[in-house]
Amino acid sequence: MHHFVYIALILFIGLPFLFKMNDPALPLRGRKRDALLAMALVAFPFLVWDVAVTAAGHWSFSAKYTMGVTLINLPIEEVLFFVVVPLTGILVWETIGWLLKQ
Amino acid sequence: MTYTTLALIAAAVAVLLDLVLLRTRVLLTKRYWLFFGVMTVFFLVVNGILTALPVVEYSSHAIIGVRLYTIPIEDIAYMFALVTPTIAMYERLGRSRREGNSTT
Repeated sequence: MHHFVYIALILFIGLPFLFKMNDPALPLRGRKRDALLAMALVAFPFLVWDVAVTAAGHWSFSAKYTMGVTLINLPIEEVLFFVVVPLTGILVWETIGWLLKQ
Repeated sequence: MTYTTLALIAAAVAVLLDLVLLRTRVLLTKRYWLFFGVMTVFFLVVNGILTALPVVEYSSHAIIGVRLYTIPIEDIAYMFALVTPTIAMYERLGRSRREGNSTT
């Protein structure tokens, strides 16, 4: 089970976005293209950075806590990190906006 | 360059993007800092787990060695550099549309 630790964290971060992205109270409902585009524009440089410094030895990933599937020389969990953090970040941003309007 | 240097450069780029390049100025709003507070709580939990097990191990040559629990201090600048441009881009895309793409 320990191989699923990092992917479980990714799901934990990403699930709020999946469950609330169509919430009628949030503008996000009609702006998912913007959310995906913002995520992609930010994820790209961070992935370039990550690939470069993983190769340079700034950090390394545990074989025990990852599934062993790699993409661009990174564990797939690490690649997904840059998908779920921006998207759930946008959900948090929209939720705070909604709260401030109440 | 060390992670320390890169994280600080990335954080500076994030500020520049929001205030100057995209002129979204989310950093000057109360909404942003409430958002950042919430994100920091999530970040401490998630990165606490990632660095405690550890799922991710940092080279002692890349960081200054100051840690919050097990989290290298550099990760705070990194998180800021990741989430700030995301929100600035998202806001820029929304505002550009409302302004009929006439201004950037």
